[in-house]
Amino acid sequence: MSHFLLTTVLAGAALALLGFADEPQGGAPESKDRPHAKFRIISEHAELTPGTTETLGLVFTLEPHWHVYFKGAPGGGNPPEIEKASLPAGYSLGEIQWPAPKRYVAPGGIYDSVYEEEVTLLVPLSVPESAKPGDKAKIGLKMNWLECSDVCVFGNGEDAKVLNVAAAKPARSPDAALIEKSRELLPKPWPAEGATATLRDGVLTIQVAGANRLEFYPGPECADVAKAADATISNSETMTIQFLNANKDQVIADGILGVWRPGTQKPSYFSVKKNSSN
Amino acid sequence: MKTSKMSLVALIAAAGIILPAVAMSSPDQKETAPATSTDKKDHKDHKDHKDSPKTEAAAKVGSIAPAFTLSDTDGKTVNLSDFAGKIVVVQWFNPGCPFVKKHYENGANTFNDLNKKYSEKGVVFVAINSGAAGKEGAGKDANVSAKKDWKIEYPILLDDTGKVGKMYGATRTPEMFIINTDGTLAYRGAIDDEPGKNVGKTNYVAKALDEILAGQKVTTAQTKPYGCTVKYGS
Repeated sequence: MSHFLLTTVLAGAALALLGFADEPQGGAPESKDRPHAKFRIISEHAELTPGTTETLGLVFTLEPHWHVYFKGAPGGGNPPEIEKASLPAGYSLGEIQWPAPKRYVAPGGIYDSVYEEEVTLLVPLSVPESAKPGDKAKIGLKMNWLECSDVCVFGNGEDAKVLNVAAAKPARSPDAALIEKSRELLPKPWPAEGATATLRDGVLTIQVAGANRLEFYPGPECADVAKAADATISNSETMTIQFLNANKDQVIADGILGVWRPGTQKPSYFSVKKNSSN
Repeated sequence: MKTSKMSLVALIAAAGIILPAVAMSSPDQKETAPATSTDKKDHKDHKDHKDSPKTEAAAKVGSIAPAFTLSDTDGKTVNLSDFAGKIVVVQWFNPGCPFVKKHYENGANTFNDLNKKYSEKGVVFVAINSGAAGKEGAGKDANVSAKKDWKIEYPILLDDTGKVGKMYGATRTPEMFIINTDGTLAYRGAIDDEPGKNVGKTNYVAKALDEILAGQKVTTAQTKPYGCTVKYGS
């Protein structure tokens, strides 16, 4: 019996070492209520400069098979939001800037826009002129979000970062590359080169000359897209999107357009916003 | 004897490692596994779902709502036609979904309160769970428990093939549909205006029911549903 127990323990330990213990397969059901995304704050510079705007990164690191939602994901999705910010007097945060998400199509053809593995949301921090070199600024954020795999749970987390106010121009922080990577995924103003977008009779038609792939990620104000899983992707230079609004005169088409061109590895992203009542 | 004991130990150890590994790679597990965020095939290319019925808006506001026949958690057959001439509220349901739970737990009682208030005025409520076998909140047991735990007095209908859900184009839980007395769809969309953790201030279903019962036009006949994806099998 003791041999059996020992063997079971050893076999279990071997599985854990191999990393299988985290797989949600078989055996006792995995607890879904524990956090599946970790949150931390990073900054672009190692120190702050009075009277400037510092870029903070809100980093979400997700377990395999889990995702969080883009602001504007068709199902609402409860994307990450700042529940509470603790800042020194005179400091303030701007709006979260959302990098382009990825497509997610669930069984039944249900479309969502999500972030997998790791995402860095950007948020500007205004540093007051009155900040004095040598001051320490503690930035605390409490966040909440929805995290999903085959199931969904509400997640939350908090982090605080202490940054010194510098006398001279501060050096970039070791995390600056993460912020830069995310910045490359922010949408640029419309139009893309050689692009047109029209919204007529509840139909958005986008054409980008020379593109060989287009992806549209609906934004928070966007009307419901019909057949979204199919309509939001095109392997040509044209994309046609129909909306479900009963009143075709009150359609808002809002989102990020990803544009792939032959010979380029990375897509470019653009903000698209059209209002049929204009 | 020592040798045979060692062999037994080795066999158990091997079984302890091999059997879970086999279980993890079984076709059944893969077939019932959800589309996960790391499944690049699903994300980079949606062809996997191209041939499966899509949950587009089959049930359109102003058109006749699709007929259905389903069994409830007691095994009783329920037809939409059973309620001919009545206002019917259909709630897409998954007891494991946090957006559903928030309306039944922590002091909230949204759906039961709606049912209580409007059933007195002749309105019929039904919930439909289109989750496939093995998916979150799917199956008879989970829904019998939810009905009991949350004191739900209206029937929960089981649609494990997802056929009815896809006919209606239901994509989220909770997603709401109101069928008017003439059989036409009067409202489809969210239960309320709060797609986060809390219960909303404006309940679109209550608002639409008040308007219908007052003989008025439904002013907000369609909203964007929020919640978990309906856990279809394919």
